[in-house]
Amino acid sequence: MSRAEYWNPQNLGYRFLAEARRIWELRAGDLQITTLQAAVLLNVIYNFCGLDKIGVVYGAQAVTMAYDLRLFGGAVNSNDQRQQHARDFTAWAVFNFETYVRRAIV
Amino acid sequence: MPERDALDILRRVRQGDGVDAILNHVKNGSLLLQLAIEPETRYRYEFPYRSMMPTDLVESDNPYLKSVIYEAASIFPSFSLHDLPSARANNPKAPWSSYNAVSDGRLGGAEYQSPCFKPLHAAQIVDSRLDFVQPSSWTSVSTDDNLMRQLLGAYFLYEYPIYPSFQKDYFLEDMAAQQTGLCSSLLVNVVLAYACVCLALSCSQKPLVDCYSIAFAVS
Repeated sequence: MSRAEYWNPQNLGYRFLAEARRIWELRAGDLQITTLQAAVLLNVIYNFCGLDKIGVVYGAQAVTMAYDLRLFGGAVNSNDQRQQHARDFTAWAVFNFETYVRRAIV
Repeated sequence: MPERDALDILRRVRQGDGVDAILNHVKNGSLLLQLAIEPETRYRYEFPYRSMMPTDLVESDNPYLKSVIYEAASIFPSFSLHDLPSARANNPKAPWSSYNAVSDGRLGGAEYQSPCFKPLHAAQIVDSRLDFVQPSSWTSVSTDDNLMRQLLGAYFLYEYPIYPSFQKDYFLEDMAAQQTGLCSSLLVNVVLAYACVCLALSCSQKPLVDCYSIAFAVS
């Protein structure tokens, strides 16, 4: 089974990851739900590549962002149901991720 | 109609299945079974190193022959233990009987519902939202929309069910509509990177179907 050479600049995966990290650094101050979702996935990607020490940093930031966005505090925006669904889904996703992945790696 | 099929239809009527559905199944079911006579190789995994169980081991007290994985792995879809004496009597060189699961009617049985018989590697994702997204407007890495849609499709098929961090439908809808509420270029790049890493693309130029393989998720 050929593994992806995530360190190889010719590799498509490397390029996507490099672009993602570039945008991450640009958006460091923004508090958006998509940034938090991306952080969870970045954690999983780094875990998959054996770089969980880097991934854990993103995971921790994801949790901080979730608290700052008040994802776990119940319904905030009762007008926009779609947005509320997305927030609830993300809240559960972050919880599951923390419970299964972070515990297992540690 | 063989008794087994008749009993099966009676059971389905009792369960309350629609009469139309049952009639349909009776009429058209045999067509599907005829198509299934030639073993589809993608449904089966290769028996390691040898394609058939050695004749010496094909004895009635061999517990391995009762395992579902043996039936799943063998080229002949249904070797049955209670056929063994007659099979060996008829033709000592051929260890299997000549009937197959088609005429036996076992294709609907419990053992054939197991994951061993499902063509998991032939699965493809079907999501109409995927056809409308334009990943090239969200990422500057690649302009090949087709390849990126395939990557997204593969991600949602294999990886998304394991660690979903965002809701797939809302993400795709906002992506197609070029809205940044629940989709962002950061998220798109990360998802595509995830798809590449987990699906083990070894080269950026080769088409996806040639070189991706399913990797085990870390958990």
